[in-house]
Amino acid sequence: MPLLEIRNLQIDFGHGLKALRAVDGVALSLEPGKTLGLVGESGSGKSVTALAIARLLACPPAVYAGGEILLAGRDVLRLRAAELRQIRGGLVSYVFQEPGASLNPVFRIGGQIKEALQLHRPEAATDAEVIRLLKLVGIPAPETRMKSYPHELSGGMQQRVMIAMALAPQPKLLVADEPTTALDVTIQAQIIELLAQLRQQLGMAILLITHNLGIVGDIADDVAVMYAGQIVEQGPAHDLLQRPLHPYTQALMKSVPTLAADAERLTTISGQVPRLGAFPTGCRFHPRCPVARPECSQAPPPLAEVEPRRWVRCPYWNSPSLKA
Amino acid sequence: MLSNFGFFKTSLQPVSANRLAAAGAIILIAFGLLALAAPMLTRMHLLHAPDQQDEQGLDTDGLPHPAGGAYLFGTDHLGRDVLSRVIYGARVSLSVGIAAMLTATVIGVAVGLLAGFYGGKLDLVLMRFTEMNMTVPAILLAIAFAGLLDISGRTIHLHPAWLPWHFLEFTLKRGAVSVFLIVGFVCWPGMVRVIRAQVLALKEREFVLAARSLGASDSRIILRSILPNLLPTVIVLAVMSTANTILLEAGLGYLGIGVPPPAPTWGSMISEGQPYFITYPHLVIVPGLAIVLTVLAFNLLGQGLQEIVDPKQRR
Repeated sequence: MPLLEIRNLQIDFGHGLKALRAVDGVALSLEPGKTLGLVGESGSGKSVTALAIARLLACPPAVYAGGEILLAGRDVLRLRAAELRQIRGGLVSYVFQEPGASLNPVFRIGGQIKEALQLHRPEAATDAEVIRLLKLVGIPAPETRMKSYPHELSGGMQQRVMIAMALAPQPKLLVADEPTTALDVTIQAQIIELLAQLRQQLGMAILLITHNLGIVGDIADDVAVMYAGQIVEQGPAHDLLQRPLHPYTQALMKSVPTLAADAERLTTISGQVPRLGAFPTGCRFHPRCPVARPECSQAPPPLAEVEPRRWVRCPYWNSPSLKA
Repeated sequence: MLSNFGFFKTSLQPVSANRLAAAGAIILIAFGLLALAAPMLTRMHLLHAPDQQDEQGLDTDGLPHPAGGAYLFGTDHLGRDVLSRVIYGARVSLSVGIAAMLTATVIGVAVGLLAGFYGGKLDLVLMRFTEMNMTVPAILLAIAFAGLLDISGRTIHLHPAWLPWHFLEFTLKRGAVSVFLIVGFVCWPGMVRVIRAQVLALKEREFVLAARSLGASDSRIILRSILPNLLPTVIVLAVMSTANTILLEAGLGYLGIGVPPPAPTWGSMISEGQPYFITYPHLVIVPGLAIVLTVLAFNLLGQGLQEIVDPKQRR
């Protein structure tokens, strides 16, 4: 049984006629101990999907309009508030983008980790356990560091503390929502390495949300690419990154800057992610698609399994113009 | 925001470094010490009793002494030492003012937290109720409350039996209790808006989401994540509002619905001295100055604390 199974998830912002659909029919599944990378531009709905897993979106304005989120077999969208608090932390933990903002500025980090322990493992809320967790995430001199305030730590250290806090209740699934975006490049690599190592050590699953394709290749087993609230391509990480099938994924791959190429300009995807509620008809990517045809604006294409374990939302994935 | 970090660790030293805060604090400490020590000074015959006529309090024609001479601030129409009455009045004004401030702060913070955190209908109801309270002038509202509460002058002696030497003997009149409740109930709406605005900003901060993602309940988030981050604001607001509560208490005393006589309060001293103002101006000026100085000191301290908490506000 998969640890996390999202079926046909639909999330709106607002009600009735004013409702804007931010997530439209997303389906994902994650086995225990595996890593899934969720990739997309800003505004593609990947963070909304991630927050929905523990029902963390503020309602209103968010409305869970349809679908199921099965976490260890239980539908999160049907849980009562007390059960939800057990799931949060206990089963699924989060690491957010801005480590500096995710820590409470007025408390020492040791106290904050202890608080996370008190919520789920009150018997383990001791200094010894805090030190063990800080060691686990590679913080030097944890005995003295636990007395630090968040602002006394560097961004990388703050993110390690956040990871320690997320790990404190011993979750089965760690959702890392752009955990390295706010960090500089060398620290990014360290944090990703730490996540990969912790996954091995603790056997937990990771849902890694990012817009950085390079990171995904390092750690993920599977990758799902989101565009305008839908998954446009999904498959095993290595295969997908080597041989992207959807024109959007291909464009994303091309826009990753490389040192080898002697390019004057960076490749970009023309246009912008469409605004919520202003999605184009037919294929949502067609206005920006380099190989769009007139038919693309007619009917929305389905997500189809075109090869074993390779899903693509483009009927023309096999056409010669896309094989470049 | 940076200045909020580790507020408590670093807050004491800047108070002495900030001139405004230091000036306010010195005035208040001086007043506070005098007020605390007043009964002791009386017992040591350094200060006249505040509520009894002094033997030489009136001259041979039965008229009060002007300021200067044997009595530093003169005597009033009943021959009582004005200096002593001002110092004893500080006991009433400071204690009622601070108790009223605490009452107002507790109500204001609670209402602001609930309205800001939960929003929606609760916010609507609480904020309209707050605004309703703000539309009625404070002094009128206080008079209305005073009509509801009993302010007869029964005395409760609050001195511990185990202390043989009554240094901290504090006679809390029933009147004083109802006055600080009245003033507190009138002064809380001013705090609500500021607190609510802060809560609205704080609840969107990522550490609140992080706490929620770890399974923290609403009450835990309010008390452990949001309230501690509010404390710098609350402290500044509380100090500043003490100036208001003291003014309102003096106003009530002046109108004769404050702490009942013969206990000296600054407001009642002004109203008692008013008929003799032309010939004996010290009867009004001395308690008036005491009010002005205290209110100024609280405002200075509040302003200074605000600068310490948020250095961008420095002028």
